[in-house]
Amino acid sequence: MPNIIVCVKHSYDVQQLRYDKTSRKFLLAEAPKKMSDMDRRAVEEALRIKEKHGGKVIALTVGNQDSIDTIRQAYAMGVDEGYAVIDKDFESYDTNNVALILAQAIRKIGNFDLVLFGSASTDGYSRQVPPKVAMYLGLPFINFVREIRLEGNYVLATSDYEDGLYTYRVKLPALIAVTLDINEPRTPTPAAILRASRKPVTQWTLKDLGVGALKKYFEVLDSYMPETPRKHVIFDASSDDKIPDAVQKLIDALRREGVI
Amino acid sequence: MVTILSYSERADLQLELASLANELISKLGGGVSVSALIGYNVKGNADMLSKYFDRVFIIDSENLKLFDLSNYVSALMEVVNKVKPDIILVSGNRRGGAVASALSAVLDVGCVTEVVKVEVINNDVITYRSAYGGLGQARTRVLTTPKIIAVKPGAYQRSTVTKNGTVEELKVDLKKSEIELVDMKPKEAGVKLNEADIVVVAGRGVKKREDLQMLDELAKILGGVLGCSRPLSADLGWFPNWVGMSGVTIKPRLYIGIGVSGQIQHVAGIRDSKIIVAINIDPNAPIFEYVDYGIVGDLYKVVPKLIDELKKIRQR
Ligand SMILES: Cc1cc2nc3c(=O)[nH]c(=O)nc-3n(C[C@H](O)[C@H](O)[C@H](O)COP(=O)(O)OP(=O)(O)OC[C@H]3O[C@@H](n4cnc5c(N)ncnc54)[C@H](O)[C@@H]3O)c2cc1C
Repeated sequence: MPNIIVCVKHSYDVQQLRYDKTSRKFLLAEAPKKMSDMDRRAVEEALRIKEKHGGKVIALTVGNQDSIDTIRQAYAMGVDEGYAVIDKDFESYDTNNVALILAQAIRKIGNFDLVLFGSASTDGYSRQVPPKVAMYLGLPFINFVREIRLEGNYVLATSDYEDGLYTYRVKLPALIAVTLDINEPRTPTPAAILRASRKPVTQWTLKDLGVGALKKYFEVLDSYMPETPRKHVIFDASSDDKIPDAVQKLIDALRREGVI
Repeated sequence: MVTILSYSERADLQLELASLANELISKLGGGVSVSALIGYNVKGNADMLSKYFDRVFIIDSENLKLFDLSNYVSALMEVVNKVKPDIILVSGNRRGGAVASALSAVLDVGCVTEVVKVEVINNDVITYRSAYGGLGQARTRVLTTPKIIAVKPGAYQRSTVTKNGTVEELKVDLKKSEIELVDMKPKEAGVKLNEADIVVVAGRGVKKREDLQMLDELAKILGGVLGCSRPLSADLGWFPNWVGMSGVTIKPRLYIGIGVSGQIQHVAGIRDSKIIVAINIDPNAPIFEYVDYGIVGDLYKVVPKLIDELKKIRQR
Protein backbone atom coordinates (compact mmCIF):
# COMPACT_ATOMS: atom_id res chain seq x y z
CA MET A 1 0.00 0.00 0.00
CA PRO A 2 1.96 2.96 -1.29
CA ASN A 3 2.24 6.33 0.39
CA ILE A 4 2.45 9.01 -2.26
CA ILE A 5 3.58 12.60 -1.77
CA VAL A 6 2.49 14.95 -4.55
CA CYS A 7 4.18 18.35 -4.78
CA VAL A 8 1.83 21.06 -6.05
CA LYS A 9 2.38 24.71 -6.89
CA HIS A 10 -0.08 27.56 -6.57
CA SER A 11 0.58 29.17 -9.96
CA TYR A 12 -0.58 32.28 -11.71
CA ASP A 13 -3.33 31.41 -14.14
CA VAL A 14 -1.35 32.65 -17.11
CA GLN A 15 -4.35 32.54 -19.44
CA GLN A 16 -5.89 35.29 -17.34
CA LEU A 17 -2.81 37.36 -16.63
CA ARG A 18 -3.08 40.94 -17.92
CA TYR A 19 -0.41 43.58 -18.43
CA ASP A 20 -0.25 47.34 -18.29
CA LYS A 21 -0.26 48.64 -21.84
CA THR A 22 2.26 51.41 -21.21
CA SER A 23 4.75 49.89 -18.77
CA ARG A 24 4.20 46.41 -20.29
CA LYS A 25 4.55 44.95 -16.78
CA PHE A 26 2.25 42.17 -15.62
CA LEU A 27 -0.58 43.00 -13.23
CA LEU A 28 0.33 40.29 -10.75
CA ALA A 29 -1.57 41.63 -7.76
CA GLU A 30 -4.93 41.13 -9.43
CA ALA A 31 -4.04 37.91 -11.29
CA PRO A 32 -5.99 34.79 -10.33
CA LYS A 33 -4.06 31.72 -9.24
CA LYS A 34 -4.78 28.00 -9.40
CA MET A 35 -3.06 24.67 -8.98
CA SER A 36 -0.48 24.27 -11.76
CA ASP A 37 -1.85 22.20 -14.67
CA MET A 38 0.66 19.34 -14.62
CA ASP A 39 0.54 19.17 -10.81
CA ARG A 40 -3.22 18.66 -10.99
CA ARG A 41 -2.55 15.64 -13.18
CA ALA A 42 0.03 14.37 -10.70
CA VAL A 43 -2.64 14.55 -7.97
CA GLU A 44 -5.10 12.72 -10.22
CA GLU A 45 -2.55 10.01 -10.95
CA ALA A 46 -1.79 9.54 -7.26
CA LEU A 47 -5.52 9.19 -6.53
CA ARG A 48 -5.88 6.60 -9.29
CA ILE A 49 -2.96 4.62 -7.87
CA LYS A 50 -4.58 4.76 -4.45
CA GLU A 51 -7.94 3.63 -5.84
CA LYS A 52 -6.17 0.56 -7.25
CA HIS A 53 -3.56 -0.23 -4.62
CA GLY A 54 -4.69 1.50 -1.44
CA GLY A 55 -2.30 3.63 0.58
CA LYS A 56 -2.36 7.34 1.21
CA VAL A 57 -2.01 10.51 -0.88
CA ILE A 58 -0.35 13.58 0.63
CA ALA A 59 -0.27 16.99 -1.07
CA LEU A 60 2.65 19.33 -0.30
CA THR A 61 3.23 22.90 -1.39
CA VAL A 62 5.64 25.73 -0.68
CA GLY A 63 4.47 29.28 -1.21
CA ASN A 64 2.81 32.38 0.17
CA GLN A 65 -0.13 32.24 2.54
CA ASP A 66 -2.47 32.03 -0.49
CA SER A 67 -0.89 28.72 -1.59
CA ILE A 68 -3.06 26.99 1.01
CA ASP A 69 -5.81 27.33 -1.65
CA THR A 70 -3.97 24.80 -3.75
CA ILE A 71 -3.90 22.31 -0.88
CA ARG A 72 -7.65 22.88 -0.54
CA GLN A 73 -8.05 22.14 -4.26
CA ALA A 74 -6.08 18.92 -3.73
CA TYR A 75 -8.31 18.01 -0.77
CA ALA A 76 -11.37 18.60 -2.94
CA MET A 77 -9.96 16.15 -5.48
CA GLY A 78 -9.57 13.58 -2.72
CA VAL A 79 -6.11 13.62 -1.14
CA ASP A 80 -5.81 12.44 2.46
CA GLU A 81 -3.39 14.95 3.98
CA GLY A 82 -2.17 18.44 3.10
CA TYR A 83 1.03 20.26 4.05
CA ALA A 84 2.05 23.81 3.21
CA VAL A 85 5.42 25.41 3.83
CA ILE A 86 4.58 29.10 4.10
CA ASP A 87 7.04 31.92 3.65
CA LYS A 88 6.24 35.54 2.84
CA ASP A 89 9.39 35.86 0.73
CA PHE A 90 8.38 33.01 -1.53
CA GLU A 91 8.19 35.24 -4.65
CA SER A 92 11.92 35.86 -4.46
CA TYR A 93 12.88 32.19 -4.23
CA ASP A 94 14.78 30.55 -7.05
CA THR A 95 14.40 26.92 -8.05
CA ASN A 96 17.36 25.85 -5.88
CA ASN A 97 15.60 27.36 -2.84
CA VAL A 98 12.24 25.76 -3.64
CA ALA A 99 13.78 22.36 -4.29
CA LEU A 100 15.78 22.46 -1.08
CA ILE A 101 12.69 23.35 0.97
CA LEU A 102 10.57 20.66 -0.69
CA ALA A 103 13.29 18.06 -0.11
CA GLN A 104 13.42 19.00 3.58
CA ALA A 105 9.63 18.85 3.88
CA ILE A 106 9.50 15.46 2.14
CA ARG A 107 12.12 14.15 4.57
CA LYS A 108 10.10 15.49 7.48
CA ILE A 109 6.86 13.90 6.25
CA GLY A 110 8.87 10.71 5.75
CA ASN A 111 7.54 7.21 5.14
CA PHE A 112 6.81 7.59 1.41
CA ASP A 113 7.08 5.22 -1.53
CA LEU A 114 6.57 7.60 -4.40
CA VAL A 115 7.01 11.34 -4.90
CA LEU A 116 5.10 12.85 -7.80
CA PHE A 117 5.56 16.21 -9.50
CA GLY A 118 4.31 17.95 -12.63
CA SER A 119 7.26 18.21 -15.04
CA ALA A 120 6.83 21.99 -15.33
CA SER A 121 4.78 24.61 -13.55
CA THR A 122 2.28 26.63 -15.55
CA ASP A 123 3.80 30.01 -14.67
CA GLY A 124 7.50 29.39 -14.04
CA TYR A 125 7.96 26.62 -16.58
CA SER A 126 11.63 26.15 -15.71
CA ARG A 127 11.36 22.34 -15.34
CA GLN A 128 14.13 22.59 -12.73
CA VAL A 129 12.49 21.64 -9.46
CA PRO A 130 11.77 17.89 -9.90
CA PRO A 131 15.31 16.90 -11.00
CA LYS A 132 16.79 19.01 -8.21
CA VAL A 133 14.63 17.43 -5.52
CA ALA A 134 15.60 14.01 -6.89
CA MET A 135 19.28 14.94 -6.49
CA TYR A 136 18.82 16.33 -2.98
CA LEU A 137 16.93 13.23 -1.86
CA GLY A 138 19.12 10.79 -3.79
CA LEU A 139 16.06 9.20 -5.37
CA PRO A 140 15.93 7.58 -8.82
CA PHE A 141 14.11 9.97 -11.14
CA ILE A 142 11.91 9.41 -14.18
CA ASN A 143 10.83 12.53 -16.06
CA PHE A 144 8.13 13.52 -18.60
CA VAL A 145 6.01 10.53 -17.66
CA ARG A 146 2.73 9.85 -19.45
CA GLU A 147 1.92 6.45 -17.94
CA ILE A 148 2.52 4.92 -14.52
CA ARG A 149 1.96 1.36 -13.34
CA LEU A 150 2.76 -0.10 -9.96
CA GLU A 151 3.94 -3.70 -9.71
CA GLY A 152 4.63 -4.75 -6.13
CA ASN A 153 7.69 -2.83 -4.97
CA TYR A 154 8.40 -1.56 -8.45
CA VAL A 155 7.04 1.22 -10.60
CA LEU A 156 6.89 1.19 -14.39
CA ALA A 157 6.81 4.61 -15.98
CA THR A 158 6.78 5.71 -19.62
CA SER A 159 8.83 8.81 -20.41
CA ASP A 160 8.00 10.93 -23.43
CA TYR A 161 11.25 12.08 -25.03
CA GLU A 162 11.70 13.82 -28.36
CA ASP A 163 12.91 10.62 -30.01
CA GLY A 164 10.61 8.05 -28.46
CA LEU A 165 8.59 6.63 -25.59
CA TYR A 166 10.86 4.95 -23.02
CA THR A 167 9.35 2.66 -20.41
CA TYR A 168 11.50 2.32 -17.29
CA ARG A 169 11.21 0.07 -14.28
CA VAL A 170 12.60 1.02 -10.91
CA LYS A 171 12.30 -0.07 -7.32
CA LEU A 172 10.40 2.20 -4.93
CA PRO A 173 10.96 4.76 -3.48
CA ALA A 174 11.28 6.86 -6.60
CA LEU A 175 10.50 10.34 -7.86
CA ILE A 176 8.41 10.78 -10.99
CA ALA A 177 7.42 13.95 -12.88
CA VAL A 178 4.38 13.75 -15.16
CA THR A 179 3.27 15.60 -18.30
CA LEU A 180 -0.13 16.96 -19.32
CA ASP A 181 -0.84 13.81 -21.31
CA ILE A 182 -0.95 11.37 -18.41
CA ASN A 183 -4.66 11.73 -17.58
CA GLU A 184 -7.67 14.01 -17.55
CA PRO A 185 -8.01 15.21 -13.96
CA ARG A 186 -11.35 14.97 -12.17
CA THR A 187 -13.47 18.04 -11.39
CA PRO A 188 -14.35 18.11 -7.69
CA THR A 189 -18.03 18.22 -6.73
CA PRO A 190 -19.36 21.29 -4.87
CA ALA A 191 -19.83 19.07 -1.79
CA ALA A 192 -16.19 17.95 -1.95
CA ILE A 193 -15.06 21.58 -2.28
CA LEU A 194 -17.08 22.50 0.78
CA ARG A 195 -15.68 19.58 2.80
CA ALA A 196 -12.17 20.53 1.68
CA SER A 197 -12.55 24.01 3.13
CA ARG A 198 -12.85 22.46 6.62
CA LYS A 199 -9.92 20.04 6.38
CA PRO A 200 -6.84 20.91 8.41
CA VAL A 201 -3.69 21.95 6.53
CA THR A 202 -0.44 21.37 8.37
CA GLN A 203 1.56 24.58 8.07
CA TRP A 204 5.32 24.77 8.45
CA THR A 205 7.77 27.63 8.42
CA LEU A 206 11.35 27.35 7.15
CA LYS A 207 12.43 27.20 10.78
CA ASP A 208 10.20 24.16 11.39
CA LEU A 209 12.15 22.45 8.60
CA GLY A 210 15.53 23.51 9.94
CA VAL A 211 16.17 25.60 6.83
CA GLY A 212 18.29 28.66 7.63
CA ALA A 213 19.13 31.68 5.49
CA LEU A 214 18.71 30.90 1.82
CA LYS A 215 21.55 31.57 -0.57
CA LYS A 216 20.66 33.47 -3.75
CA TYR A 217 21.54 31.64 -6.93
CA PHE A 218 19.51 33.43 -9.56
CA GLU A 219 17.55 36.62 -10.03
CA VAL A 220 14.91 38.00 -12.34
CA LEU A 221 15.90 41.55 -13.30
CA ASP A 222 12.51 42.27 -14.81
CA SER A 223 9.68 40.61 -16.70
CA TYR A 224 7.46 42.24 -19.25
CA MET A 225 5.25 41.68 -22.25
CA PRO A 226 7.66 41.99 -25.19
CA GLU A 227 6.72 44.35 -27.97
CA THR A 228 6.31 42.52 -31.21
CA PRO A 229 4.66 45.01 -33.50
CA ARG A 230 2.22 43.24 -35.77
CA LYS A 231 0.11 44.72 -38.50
CA HIS A 232 -3.24 43.30 -37.41
CA VAL A 233 -4.87 43.49 -40.83
CA ILE A 234 -8.01 41.34 -40.76
CA PHE A 235 -9.98 40.30 -43.84
CA ASP A 236 -13.59 39.29 -43.41
CA ALA A 237 -14.63 36.05 -45.08
CA SER A 238 -17.50 35.27 -42.78
CA SER A 239 -20.00 35.00 -45.65
CA ASP A 240 -19.39 33.08 -48.85
CA ASP A 241 -19.52 36.10 -51.14
CA LYS A 242 -16.66 37.74 -49.26
CA ILE A 243 -14.26 34.80 -49.52
CA PRO A 244 -12.74 35.51 -52.98
CA ASP A 245 -11.93 39.08 -52.04
CA ALA A 246 -10.44 38.17 -48.66
CA VAL A 247 -8.27 35.43 -50.18
CA GLN A 248 -7.06 37.75 -52.94
CA LYS A 249 -6.17 40.46 -50.43
CA LEU A 250 -4.23 37.99 -48.30
CA ILE A 251 -2.25 36.74 -51.29
CA ASP A 252 -1.50 40.31 -52.38
CA ALA A 253 -0.33 41.20 -48.90
CA LEU A 254 1.93 38.16 -48.62
CA ARG A 255 3.46 38.90 -52.02
CA ARG A 256 4.10 42.49 -50.99
CA GLU A 257 5.83 41.18 -47.87
CA GLY A 258 7.94 38.98 -50.10
CA VAL A 259 7.18 35.84 -48.13
CA ILE A 260 5.51 33.90 -50.96
CA MET B 1 40.17 34.29 -19.88
CA VAL B 2 36.94 32.40 -19.54
CA THR B 3 36.33 28.70 -19.88
CA ILE B 4 32.99 27.73 -21.36
CA LEU B 5 31.85 24.14 -21.17
CA SER B 6 29.11 22.91 -23.51
CA TYR B 7 27.07 19.77 -23.21
CA SER B 8 24.25 18.17 -25.14
CA GLU B 9 23.56 14.51 -25.77
CA ARG B 10 23.01 15.50 -29.41
CA ALA B 11 25.95 16.48 -31.58
CA ASP B 12 23.86 18.83 -33.74
CA LEU B 13 22.77 20.77 -30.65
CA GLN B 14 26.39 20.92 -29.46
CA LEU B 15 27.11 22.94 -32.60
CA GLU B 16 24.44 25.46 -31.64
CA LEU B 17 26.13 25.78 -28.24
CA ALA B 18 29.48 26.23 -30.00
CA SER B 19 28.11 29.40 -31.64
CA LEU B 20 27.04 30.85 -28.32
CA ALA B 21 30.29 29.77 -26.62
CA ASN B 22 32.33 31.58 -29.31
CA GLU B 23 30.17 34.68 -28.99
CA LEU B 24 30.56 34.75 -25.20
CA ILE B 25 34.29 34.13 -25.37
CA SER B 26 34.79 37.08 -27.70
CA LYS B 27 32.58 39.38 -25.61
CA LEU B 28 34.19 38.33 -22.33
CA GLY B 29 37.73 39.01 -23.51
CA GLY B 30 38.85 35.64 -24.78
CA GLY B 31 39.01 32.11 -23.48
CA VAL B 32 38.54 28.48 -24.39
CA SER B 33 35.52 26.46 -25.45
CA VAL B 34 35.20 22.93 -24.15
CA SER B 35 32.78 20.24 -25.24
CA ALA B 36 31.71 17.32 -23.05
CA LEU B 37 30.89 14.26 -25.14
CA ILE B 38 29.09 11.91 -22.79
CA GLY B 39 27.26 8.68 -23.47
CA TYR B 40 27.73 5.14 -24.71
CA ASN B 41 29.47 4.49 -28.04
CA VAL B 42 29.74 8.22 -28.70
CA LYS B 43 33.49 8.43 -29.46
CA GLY B 44 32.72 8.63 -33.16
CA ASN B 45 31.55 12.22 -32.74
CA ALA B 46 34.77 13.47 -31.12
CA ASP B 47 36.58 14.39 -34.34
CA MET B 48 33.61 16.33 -35.63
CA LEU B 49 33.26 18.25 -32.33
CA SER B 50 36.99 19.03 -32.26
CA LYS B 51 36.45 21.07 -35.41
CA TYR B 52 34.19 23.44 -33.45
CA PHE B 53 35.60 23.44 -29.88
CA ASP B 54 39.08 24.05 -28.48
CA ARG B 55 38.95 20.97 -26.28
CA VAL B 56 36.74 17.89 -26.34
CA PHE B 57 36.46 15.50 -23.39
CA ILE B 58 34.94 12.08 -23.96
CA ILE B 59 33.31 10.00 -21.27
CA ASP B 60 32.11 6.78 -22.80
CA SER B 61 30.62 4.12 -20.56
CA GLU B 62 28.17 1.30 -20.81
CA ASN B 63 26.50 2.74 -17.71
CA LEU B 64 25.52 5.76 -19.80
CA LYS B 65 23.60 3.69 -22.32
CA LEU B 66 20.43 4.36 -20.41
CA PHE B 67 19.57 7.95 -19.54
CA ASP B 68 20.03 7.86 -15.79
CA LEU B 69 20.18 11.46 -14.62
CA SER B 70 22.54 10.89 -11.69
CA ASN B 71 25.04 9.03 -13.89
CA TYR B 72 24.96 11.76 -16.52
CA VAL B 73 25.53 14.36 -13.84
CA SER B 74 28.41 12.36 -12.33
CA ALA B 75 30.03 12.12 -15.75
CA LEU B 76 29.61 15.82 -16.42
CA MET B 77 31.00 16.62 -12.94
CA GLU B 78 34.22 14.88 -13.96
CA VAL B 79 34.66 17.34 -16.84
CA VAL B 80 33.62 20.27 -14.65
CA ASN B 81 36.25 19.35 -12.05
CA LYS B 82 38.87 19.01 -14.77
CA VAL B 83 38.32 22.33 -16.59
CA LYS B 84 36.71 24.52 -13.89
CA PRO B 85 34.35 26.33 -16.26
CA ASP B 86 33.00 29.84 -15.69
CA ILE B 87 29.90 29.10 -17.73
CA ILE B 88 28.25 25.77 -18.49
CA LEU B 89 26.00 25.77 -21.55
CA VAL B 90 23.53 22.94 -21.96
CA SER B 91 21.09 22.48 -24.78
CA GLY B 92 17.68 22.55 -23.13
CA ASN B 93 15.86 19.74 -24.87
CA ARG B 94 14.01 17.41 -22.50
CA ARG B 95 17.04 15.44 -21.34
CA GLY B 96 19.37 18.45 -21.40
CA GLY B 97 17.12 20.65 -19.28
CA ALA B 98 17.07 17.97 -16.58
CA VAL B 99 20.86 17.52 -16.74
CA ALA B 100 21.37 21.28 -16.32
CA SER B 101 18.98 21.41 -13.35
CA ALA B 102 20.39 18.37 -11.60
CA LEU B 103 23.96 19.57 -12.14
CA SER B 104 23.00 22.88 -10.56
CA ALA B 105 21.77 21.06 -7.45
CA VAL B 106 24.88 18.90 -7.19
CA LEU B 107 27.33 21.77 -7.81
CA ASP B 108 25.23 24.06 -5.61
CA VAL B 109 25.22 26.81 -8.23
CA GLY B 110 22.49 28.68 -10.11
CA CYS B 111 20.91 27.63 -13.35
CA VAL B 112 18.56 29.24 -15.85
CA THR B 113 16.57 27.19 -18.38
CA GLU B 114 14.47 28.01 -21.48
CA VAL B 115 16.98 30.66 -22.53
CA VAL B 116 16.47 32.25 -25.95
CA LYS B 117 19.15 34.94 -25.87
CA VAL B 118 22.30 35.73 -23.90
CA GLU B 119 23.85 39.20 -23.69
CA VAL B 120 27.00 40.52 -22.11
CA ILE B 121 26.62 43.93 -20.48
CA ASN B 122 29.60 45.32 -18.54
CA ASN B 123 31.03 41.82 -18.30
CA ASP B 124 27.78 40.61 -16.79
CA VAL B 125 25.96 37.73 -18.47
CA ILE B 126 22.26 38.52 -18.91
CA THR B 127 19.92 35.75 -19.98
CA TYR B 128 16.52 36.16 -21.60
CA ARG B 129 13.85 33.53 -21.07
CA SER B 130 10.10 33.22 -21.32
CA ALA B 131 8.02 34.33 -18.33
CA TYR B 132 4.58 33.40 -17.05
CA GLY B 133 4.02 30.35 -19.14
CA GLY B 134 5.24 31.86 -22.38
CA LEU B 135 3.14 35.01 -22.13
CA GLY B 136 6.04 37.32 -21.48
CA GLN B 137 9.78 37.57 -21.37
CA ALA B 138 12.17 37.98 -18.45
CA ARG B 139 15.71 39.30 -18.17
CA THR B 140 17.51 37.15 -15.67
CA ARG B 141 20.92 36.57 -14.19
CA VAL B 142 22.66 33.63 -12.57
CA LEU B 143 24.52 34.90 -9.53
CA THR B 144 27.07 32.13 -8.99
CA THR B 145 30.23 30.86 -10.66
CA PRO B 146 29.97 28.69 -12.59
CA LYS B 147 26.69 29.70 -14.17
CA ILE B 148 24.56 27.03 -15.81
CA ILE B 149 22.59 28.19 -18.84
CA ALA B 150 20.20 25.85 -20.64
CA VAL B 151 19.49 27.25 -24.09
CA LYS B 152 16.40 26.43 -26.11
CA PRO B 153 17.21 24.26 -29.13
CA GLY B 154 17.08 26.41 -32.25
CA ALA B 155 17.80 29.68 -30.44
CA TYR B 156 21.29 29.77 -31.95
CA GLN B 157 22.49 28.74 -35.40
CA ARG B 158 25.03 25.94 -35.68
CA SER B 159 28.60 27.22 -35.55
CA THR B 160 30.52 27.52 -38.79
CA VAL B 161 33.77 28.71 -37.19
CA THR B 162 36.20 25.85 -37.49
CA LYS B 163 38.90 25.06 -34.96
CA ASN B 164 41.50 22.41 -34.46
CA GLY B 165 40.63 21.20 -30.99
CA THR B 166 42.21 18.51 -28.84
CA VAL B 167 40.44 15.32 -27.82
CA GLU B 168 40.96 13.63 -24.48
CA GLU B 169 39.18 10.70 -22.89
CA LEU B 170 38.34 10.65 -19.17
CA LYS B 171 37.57 7.56 -17.14
CA VAL B 172 34.84 7.69 -14.53
CA ASP B 173 33.56 5.02 -12.20
CA LEU B 174 29.83 4.97 -12.67
CA LYS B 175 27.48 2.69 -10.83
CA LYS B 176 25.02 0.50 -12.62
CA SER B 177 21.73 2.39 -12.78
CA GLU B 178 18.90 1.39 -10.47
CA ILE B 179 16.62 2.14 -13.40
CA GLU B 180 16.02 -0.46 -16.06
CA LEU B 181 14.71 0.18 -19.57
CA VAL B 182 11.98 -2.33 -20.37
CA ASP B 183 10.58 -0.92 -23.60
CA MET B 184 11.28 1.78 -26.15
CA LYS B 185 9.05 2.85 -28.99
CA PRO B 186 10.83 5.24 -31.33
CA LYS B 187 8.85 8.17 -32.67
CA GLU B 188 8.73 8.84 -36.36
CA ALA B 189 11.14 11.68 -36.98
CA GLY B 190 8.54 14.05 -38.45
CA VAL B 191 9.42 17.17 -40.38
CA LYS B 192 12.00 19.56 -38.93
CA LEU B 193 9.57 22.33 -38.11
CA ASN B 194 12.24 24.68 -36.76
CA GLU B 195 14.25 24.53 -39.97
CA ALA B 196 11.40 25.29 -42.36
CA ASP B 197 10.97 28.70 -43.97
CA ILE B 198 7.20 28.47 -44.15
CA VAL B 199 5.11 26.55 -41.62
CA VAL B 200 1.38 25.90 -41.93
CA VAL B 201 -0.07 24.85 -38.58
CA ALA B 202 -3.25 22.84 -38.23
CA GLY B 203 -5.28 23.43 -35.07
CA ARG B 204 -8.26 21.81 -33.41
CA GLY B 205 -10.52 23.59 -35.90
CA VAL B 206 -9.57 20.77 -38.30
CA LYS B 207 -12.27 18.18 -37.75
CA LYS B 208 -10.95 14.98 -39.32
CA ARG B 209 -7.58 13.50 -40.01
CA GLU B 210 -8.34 13.28 -43.75
CA ASP B 211 -8.78 17.05 -43.80
CA LEU B 212 -5.07 17.45 -43.14
CA GLN B 213 -4.48 16.59 -46.80
CA MET B 214 -5.93 19.94 -47.77
CA LEU B 215 -3.60 21.77 -45.38
CA ASP B 216 -0.66 19.70 -46.51
CA GLU B 217 -1.41 20.69 -50.09
CA LEU B 218 -1.39 24.35 -49.07
CA ALA B 219 1.94 23.90 -47.31
CA LYS B 220 3.44 22.19 -50.37
CA ILE B 221 2.26 24.87 -52.81
CA LEU B 222 3.94 27.46 -50.61
CA GLY B 223 7.10 25.35 -50.36
CA GLY B 224 6.59 24.89 -46.63
CA VAL B 225 5.80 22.14 -44.15
CA LEU B 226 2.74 21.20 -42.11
CA GLY B 227 2.80 21.18 -38.31
CA CYS B 228 0.09 21.26 -35.66
CA SER B 229 -1.00 22.63 -32.29
CA ARG B 230 -0.66 20.45 -29.21
CA PRO B 231 -4.07 18.70 -29.18
CA LEU B 232 -3.59 17.26 -32.68
CA SER B 233 -0.40 15.56 -31.55
CA ALA B 234 -0.77 14.93 -27.82
CA ASP B 235 -4.48 14.05 -27.78
CA LEU B 236 -5.18 12.77 -31.29
CA GLY B 237 -1.77 11.40 -32.27
CA TRP B 238 -1.92 12.78 -35.82
CA PHE B 239 1.62 14.23 -35.66
CA PRO B 240 4.80 13.21 -33.82
CA ASN B 241 5.39 16.71 -32.39
CA TRP B 242 3.71 20.09 -32.08
CA VAL B 243 4.46 23.79 -32.22
CA GLY B 244 4.61 25.81 -29.00
CA MET B 245 6.23 26.27 -25.66
CA SER B 246 6.08 22.61 -24.67
CA GLY B 247 6.81 21.48 -28.23
CA VAL B 248 8.96 23.02 -30.94
CA THR B 249 9.74 26.75 -31.02
CA ILE B 250 9.76 28.07 -34.58
CA LYS B 251 10.72 31.33 -36.25
CA PRO B 252 9.89 30.89 -39.93
CA ARG B 253 9.53 33.63 -42.52
CA LEU B 254 5.80 32.83 -42.68
CA TYR B 255 3.55 31.11 -40.13
CA ILE B 256 -0.05 30.32 -41.08
CA GLY B 257 -2.24 29.04 -38.24
CA ILE B 258 -5.44 27.41 -39.45
CA GLY B 259 -8.14 26.65 -36.88
CA VAL B 260 -5.67 27.54 -34.11
CA SER B 261 -7.17 29.54 -31.25
CA GLY B 262 -3.89 31.15 -30.16
CA GLN B 263 -3.55 30.17 -26.50
CA ILE B 264 -0.38 31.68 -25.10
CA GLN B 265 1.43 28.35 -24.82
CA HIS B 266 1.09 28.03 -28.58
CA VAL B 267 1.90 31.68 -29.31
CA ALA B 268 5.05 31.42 -27.15
CA GLY B 269 6.47 29.09 -29.78
CA ILE B 270 5.72 31.25 -32.85
CA ARG B 271 6.29 34.75 -31.54
CA ASP B 272 9.52 35.33 -33.44
CA SER B 273 8.08 34.40 -36.84
CA LYS B 274 8.57 37.13 -39.43
CA ILE B 275 4.97 37.20 -40.69
CA ILE B 276 2.09 35.62 -38.74
CA VAL B 277 -1.16 34.75 -40.51
CA ALA B 278 -4.28 33.11 -39.06
CA ILE B 279 -7.46 31.72 -40.50
CA ASN B 280 -10.16 31.27 -37.87
CA ILE B 281 -13.94 31.24 -37.87
CA ASP B 282 -14.14 33.11 -34.57
CA PRO B 283 -13.43 36.86 -34.89
CA ASN B 284 -12.63 36.95 -31.17
CA ALA B 285 -10.04 34.15 -31.26
CA PRO B 286 -6.95 35.29 -29.30
CA ILE B 287 -4.69 34.43 -32.24
CA PHE B 288 -5.87 37.60 -34.01
CA GLU B 289 -4.06 39.66 -31.36
CA TYR B 290 -0.77 38.28 -32.63
CA VAL B 291 -1.19 38.36 -36.41
CA ASP B 292 0.00 40.50 -39.26
CA TYR B 293 -2.81 39.24 -41.47
CA GLY B 294 -5.91 37.29 -40.60
CA ILE B 295 -8.94 35.90 -42.32
CA VAL B 296 -12.12 35.50 -40.31
CA GLY B 297 -13.87 32.59 -41.96
CA ASP B 298 -14.47 28.87 -42.19
CA LEU B 299 -11.22 27.11 -42.98
CA TYR B 300 -13.15 24.52 -45.02
CA LYS B 301 -14.18 27.26 -47.43
CA VAL B 302 -11.20 29.61 -47.23
CA VAL B 303 -8.37 27.10 -47.60
CA PRO B 304 -9.68 25.49 -50.85
CA LYS B 305 -10.06 28.95 -52.36
CA LEU B 306 -6.58 29.91 -51.22
CA ILE B 307 -5.15 26.77 -52.79
CA ASP B 308 -6.95 27.49 -56.08
CA GLU B 309 -5.69 31.04 -56.29
CA LEU B 310 -2.13 30.07 -55.41
CA LYS B 311 -2.23 27.38 -58.09
CA LYS B 312 -3.28 29.96 -60.65
CA ILE B 313 -0.32 32.14 -59.71
CA ARG B 314 2.06 29.20 -59.99
CA GLN B 315 0.73 28.39 -63.46
CA ARG B 316 1.25 31.89 -64.75
C1 LIG C 1 1.61 23.78 -19.61
C2 LIG C 1 0.95 23.83 -20.96
C3 LIG C 1 1.73 23.77 -22.10
C4 LIG C 1 1.14 23.81 -23.36
N1 LIG C 1 1.95 23.79 -24.46
C5 LIG C 1 1.40 23.93 -25.69
C6 LIG C 1 2.22 23.99 -26.86
O1 LIG C 1 3.45 23.92 -26.80
N2 LIG C 1 1.61 24.12 -28.07
C7 LIG C 1 0.25 24.21 -28.20
O2 LIG C 1 -0.24 24.34 -29.34
N3 LIG C 1 -0.54 24.15 -27.11
C8 LIG C 1 -0.01 24.00 -25.87
N4 LIG C 1 -0.83 23.93 -24.78
C9 LIG C 1 -2.27 23.85 -24.98
C10 LIG C 1 -2.90 25.21 -25.23
O3 LIG C 1 -3.23 25.79 -23.99
C11 LIG C 1 -4.20 25.05 -26.06
O4 LIG C 1 -5.03 24.14 -25.43
C12 LIG C 1 -3.92 24.59 -27.48
O5 LIG C 1 -2.91 25.34 -28.08
C13 LIG C 1 -5.20 24.71 -28.27
O6 LIG C 1 -5.03 24.19 -29.56
P1 LIG C 1 -5.91 24.69 -30.76
O7 LIG C 1 -5.76 26.15 -30.91
O8 LIG C 1 -5.55 23.86 -31.93
O9 LIG C 1 -7.38 24.26 -30.31
P2 LIG C 1 -8.59 25.12 -29.75
O10 LIG C 1 -8.16 26.00 -28.65
O11 LIG C 1 -9.68 24.16 -29.53
O12 LIG C 1 -8.95 26.07 -30.96
C14 LIG C 1 -9.57 25.67 -32.13
C15 LIG C 1 -9.83 26.91 -32.94
O13 LIG C 1 -10.35 26.52 -34.20
C16 LIG C 1 -11.34 27.45 -34.57
N5 LIG C 1 -12.22 26.77 -35.53
C17 LIG C 1 -13.12 25.79 -35.30
N6 LIG C 1 -13.72 25.42 -36.44
C18 LIG C 1 -13.21 26.17 -37.42
C19 LIG C 1 -13.43 26.25 -38.82
N7 LIG C 1 -14.30 25.49 -39.45
N8 LIG C 1 -12.71 27.16 -39.52
C20 LIG C 1 -11.81 27.98 -38.90
N9 LIG C 1 -11.56 27.93 -37.59
C21 LIG C 1 -12.24 27.04 -36.86
C22 LIG C 1 -12.03 27.85 -33.30
O14 LIG C 1 -12.62 29.13 -33.45
C23 LIG C 1 -10.87 27.85 -32.32
O15 LIG C 1 -10.30 29.16 -32.22
C24 LIG C 1 -0.26 23.89 -23.50
C25 LIG C 1 -1.05 23.95 -22.35
C26 LIG C 1 -0.47 23.93 -21.08
C27 LIG C 1 -1.35 24.02 -19.88
